[in-house]
Amino acid sequence: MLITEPGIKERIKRLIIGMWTMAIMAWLTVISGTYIVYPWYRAGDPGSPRSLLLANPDTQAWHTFGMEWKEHVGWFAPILATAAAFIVTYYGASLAEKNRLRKAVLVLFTIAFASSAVAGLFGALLNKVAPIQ
Amino acid sequence: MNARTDFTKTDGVAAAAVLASAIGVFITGSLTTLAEISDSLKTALEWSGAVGPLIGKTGVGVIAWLIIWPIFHALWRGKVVNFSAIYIVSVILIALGWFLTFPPVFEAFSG
Repeated sequence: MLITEPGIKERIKRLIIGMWTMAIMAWLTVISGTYIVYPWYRAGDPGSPRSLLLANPDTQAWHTFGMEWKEHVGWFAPILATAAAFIVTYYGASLAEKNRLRKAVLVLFTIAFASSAVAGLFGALLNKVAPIQ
Repeated sequence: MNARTDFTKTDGVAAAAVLASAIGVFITGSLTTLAEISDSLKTALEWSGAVGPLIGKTGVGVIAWLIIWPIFHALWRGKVVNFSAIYIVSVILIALGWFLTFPPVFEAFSG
């Protein structure tokens, strides 16, 4: 038998640590991004990244599409990752026999990852187009 | 931890966590679009001048999630629930939340 009860318990511990680490990192990222970095980005002065992007028709879409999407969808990641981490913590090894819950956790975490991927990708690209200085 | 005992846990707690997070996502998405429709709502969500209405849109979503989750948790803990139905509703709410934060969608309502 490839999967044993001690083996599941050992892997569940690692899974719980990993999932909470990801959830906490997601919270720290959206909180610092929204409350520290974003005010610099959207400052009203003409030299702010937002002002620079909107001043040029060729770069406006970086704000109106890229930044507008990333600033909202990024917040989905910590919410969904926290729910997924909580479920894994609460059910622990019993998830091995609860197929529906296991799949639900997988979907939640995948959507959380997709949300953070959109936010991270546009964040990196925006920083190339209009760096915050 | 006794893994055997864990197998007796019902799906209620998971359903509460999944649905509450989906509602939080949906509320954030809805407010993103509604703020484009209503200038007064956009102003009301601007809790901080530096951050703008983003703080209110995400703040309301997170606060709603944090209020709803313990309520569902208390209601469904130890109960047998229709997890499949709750899960499908949750996935639909999350998809709508995503859809409503997509810029071409909410900008279509921009005044």
